[in-house]
Amino acid sequence: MNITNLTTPQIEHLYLRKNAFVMVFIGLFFLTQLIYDLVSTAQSSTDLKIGFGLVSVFSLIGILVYSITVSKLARKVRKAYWYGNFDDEYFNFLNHKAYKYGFNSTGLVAFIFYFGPELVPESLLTTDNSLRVVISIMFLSYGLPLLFWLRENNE
Amino acid sequence: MNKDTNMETKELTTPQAEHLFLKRNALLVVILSLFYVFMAVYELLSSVDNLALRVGFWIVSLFIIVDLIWILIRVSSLASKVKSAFWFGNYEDEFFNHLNHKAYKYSFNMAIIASFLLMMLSDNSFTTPWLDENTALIIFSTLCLSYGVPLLFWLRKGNE
Repeated sequence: MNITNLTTPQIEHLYLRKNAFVMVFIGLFFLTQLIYDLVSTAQSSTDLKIGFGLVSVFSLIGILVYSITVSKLARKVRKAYWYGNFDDEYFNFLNHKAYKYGFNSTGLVAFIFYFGPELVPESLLTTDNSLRVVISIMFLSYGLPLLFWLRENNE
Repeated sequence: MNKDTNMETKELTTPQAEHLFLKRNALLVVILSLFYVFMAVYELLSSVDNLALRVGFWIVSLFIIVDLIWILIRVSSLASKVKSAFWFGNYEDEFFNHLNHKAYKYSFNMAIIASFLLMMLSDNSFTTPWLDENTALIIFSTLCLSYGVPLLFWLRKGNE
């Protein structure tokens, strides 16, 4: 894709969207990995396990591909890449709003996890698993609203 | 006490009320996370047989709880004035809106860093038993502290 002819808002739009994709894929990667581990401790080999393994690999490929496109765009929108400040007011607003959503849902999940075995299944309560839940919720709740707001017929 | 704060907030303009609300909310969040951190540290130290240390921790925790309740009352007394800020985090004053959202950004990023660091630490057999119980707490207090502390810094008195 030729990005030399694009204006700053157009590049920022592209960047924000691709970045949201990266975030969603990271979230999916951690989530599917967690489910894969949980499934494989319950049963040794099932279709479910293979399915989640495939989704995990798919999201890893997604992370790599989109990271490359994001890093290509990053040179054009340095401020957005390093500090998360967009020149275009609307994208700046959307970006910060997505952070707010991420903050609130992560806070909620962490608060629920704090109550321990009363509210959360025991198998999720190890450090590794609870971190995977928190990380995936964090990234998904940042990325999914952004993708929803930036969808094509919403312009 | 509540009556006084109501009287005091009645004559405020919206930006003034939002300023106060944001500041008190930041303080509330910071004290909440301090409370949780203290509980976790207390649990960690409970194996140590030192009465003075425990009493010290109890006194500080008690102080924090009283502070928490006091600030909760102050925040809720303002909430009726700034409904959209209280429920949706949208401030009418542009500057406070900007600061609030910037603080969200800081805390989101800090929480990511903290969770990846913890993930690396979780292989360490020394920390694991304590960490298992307190992972969520650490993430929660990182979120709260990195939201509240920058806000308190930006809204300090000499920075107007």
